[in-house]
Amino acid sequence: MLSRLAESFFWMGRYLERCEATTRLLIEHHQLTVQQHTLDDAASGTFLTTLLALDANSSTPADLIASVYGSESDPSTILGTLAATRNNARAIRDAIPGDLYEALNSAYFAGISEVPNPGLPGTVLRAQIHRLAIINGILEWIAPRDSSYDFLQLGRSLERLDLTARLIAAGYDRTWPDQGPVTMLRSVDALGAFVRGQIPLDGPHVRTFLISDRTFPRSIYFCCQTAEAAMRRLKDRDDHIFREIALLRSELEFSNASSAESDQISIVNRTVDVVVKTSLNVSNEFFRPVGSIIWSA
Amino acid sequence: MLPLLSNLLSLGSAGLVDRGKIRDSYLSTQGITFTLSGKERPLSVDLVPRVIHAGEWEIISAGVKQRIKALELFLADVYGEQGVIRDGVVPRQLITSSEHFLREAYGIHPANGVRIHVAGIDLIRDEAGQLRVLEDNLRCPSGVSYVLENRRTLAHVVPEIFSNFQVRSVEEYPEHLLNALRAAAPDGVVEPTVAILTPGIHNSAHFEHAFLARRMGIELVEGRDLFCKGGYLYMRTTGGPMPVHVLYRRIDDEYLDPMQFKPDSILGVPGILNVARAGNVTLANAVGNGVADDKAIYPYVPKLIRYYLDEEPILPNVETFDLQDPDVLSHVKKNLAEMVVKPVAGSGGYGLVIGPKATAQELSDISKVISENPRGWIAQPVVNLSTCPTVLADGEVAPRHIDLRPFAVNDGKEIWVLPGGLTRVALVEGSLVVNSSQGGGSKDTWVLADGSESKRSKKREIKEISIESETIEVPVLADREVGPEVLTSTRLKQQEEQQQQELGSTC
Repeated sequence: MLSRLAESFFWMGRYLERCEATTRLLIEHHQLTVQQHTLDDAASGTFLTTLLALDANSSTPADLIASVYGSESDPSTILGTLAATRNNARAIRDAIPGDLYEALNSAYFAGISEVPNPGLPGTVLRAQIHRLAIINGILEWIAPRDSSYDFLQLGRSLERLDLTARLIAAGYDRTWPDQGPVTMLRSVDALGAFVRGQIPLDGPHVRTFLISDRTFPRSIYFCCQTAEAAMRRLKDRDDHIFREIALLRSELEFSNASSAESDQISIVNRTVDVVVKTSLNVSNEFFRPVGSIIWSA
Repeated sequence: MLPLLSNLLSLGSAGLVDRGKIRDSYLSTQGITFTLSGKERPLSVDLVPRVIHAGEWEIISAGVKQRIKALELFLADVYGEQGVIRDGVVPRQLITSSEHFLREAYGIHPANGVRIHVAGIDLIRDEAGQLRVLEDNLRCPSGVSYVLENRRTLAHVVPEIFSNFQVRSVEEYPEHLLNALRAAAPDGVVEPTVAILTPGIHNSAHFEHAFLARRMGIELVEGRDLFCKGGYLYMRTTGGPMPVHVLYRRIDDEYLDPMQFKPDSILGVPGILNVARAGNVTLANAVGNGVADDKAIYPYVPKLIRYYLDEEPILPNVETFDLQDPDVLSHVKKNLAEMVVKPVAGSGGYGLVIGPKATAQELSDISKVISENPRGWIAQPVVNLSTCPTVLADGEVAPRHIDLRPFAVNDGKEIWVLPGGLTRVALVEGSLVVNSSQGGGSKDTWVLADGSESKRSKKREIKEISIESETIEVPVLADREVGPEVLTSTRLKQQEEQQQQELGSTC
């Protein structure tokens, strides 16, 4: 397939995932900070903007909602990821199902016209989650399972790895000991999956779950597995592109589930690093073939 | 209370009506419902929470614990030595005539001594401001799921009202309940399997059963999923029979075991009581608890507290007339118009007659009924329940009568009272019936954290925010990666547009 197409599928996967994850995180962060006043408004705003690597100064809850919802030009914000998803889809419109483009378009236009009321963001943000679920549903139903799907899956998995790692590192459980652990789980919709394991709902166990659970699709282990599988389907013989992620996966496979917090944090930091390296490897391997000419003005 | 209300009132009637709509749609899409007469409907939560200060909560919590402690001892006694009868504290006839005193429960010894794993104690505030216990619910008290969901609903619908209050979290309830259930496992079981038994999706509290199963991560089973064999209880799974050690059953005693109780029950599990008697499964709550929350035993609870604990009751009862005494019966019959008459075995507000609201016909009917069956009824003077501001359908705010059901969990070592509870509200003006099965609504109940008034000064400074602590290293705070600009590069865009225009001009 065309490198340009592959790249757009990859980034569509990443942005779609980022949009969904950021929206969910904003809903849960808002729920938490409405109920628990452990930090003042400015500090709890900084907490989230730091997690999301947003360059924004949010001194009030309303500011925070506005900054994270953001603008079309900043692809770390909700609106920005929505626009970027659609832009990528537009560039490969010929290669994606018509239903998918329609769903993306309606999510995008709803996103720009129905901006959440900063004092009462829940309803609009929840509606957004539902629209994104439709997009993901169409992908699961009818997207052909060829290389295009592998690139999309790869993008999704890397973005999940990044977000889950950031969520663990941010330390909701340390800052809000009462409800922080539950908020971490809810932010990735993992509460039900977690409690079925019958383990205490506290920071260390939640971190362990988010790092190494075998069946939850947003755990670091699981995402390493799906990313590696997608890369193996794309290029099985060249293992240098997935070596980093495969090493991380195998380490988690055999690591002690109840590892110490410092070990967990070092895994999380390594994950962020692995995502950057893998993304670069994928880009060099598939999107920017050696010898391509770049003209400069 | 004032800043809370003023925040809400500043929305105006139209604003409150809008928020009411947001709430209704949230409750329906989230499926936070209860089933009334076969129809699933949202349990409406009022936009104004009920606020309880830390000091008052201390009293409530201590009072509830004391009551449950005494009632646990009473149950162990009634199904054991019966010292309470021998010592003349409660008449034997009153216990043996209770339809919930089950001989089948005799000789079942709960593993950690707990019979009341979960209790809901209904409280009201009388005209003098005194909190009183209205009734005890020691069988399958329901409503706790709404306590948790109401908090999330209000944070979703009216986030602004939380800003000046430090409200105690109710989120940890499922964990406390699961710990208590696991602690009740039969002796020798190290990793107990706990399950919830529901009558099925048509039960009024099915939402709650599913909610608790989901939040505790345990199986929600129906009678047909379970069977008894060789003195053990199993559930049918794809991996074959799996033993169940603790069953949090949300079905009534009489439906639990067709071999012992109603032979035509299809909701229960044949033989389960014998498994419990053999000590191979713990039933929570225990079978036969109904004798302790029988309304005819209720007037004796303060005596039971003195008898078993040698303490004065912290929370008093509502004055109650025992109709089995002929003098009392004739006094009540003369003053029926000022009395509330309740069936002793009833719940959910069914069968209740409120004197001042009843017609002459209703009064004469009830007078006849209580004369024929004085053991089946109790009478209480009408207590004008306290009120709380409540948002009406048209967005106006007016007082409505409320009660409070705190929930307590007993793990055998400690009785834990959930800091909150279900406040039920009678939505009809002047009505004193708060039961959700009678058209009542609910309120989120805020127990304020101690010293929450000085919340501002307790907030942490931004420099202490833990994201900047030593455990977080630079990569995590790194910017998020972005893809190539697909369409937004100005130069590329201009060229593409130009291309189109050129094409257009040549065609």
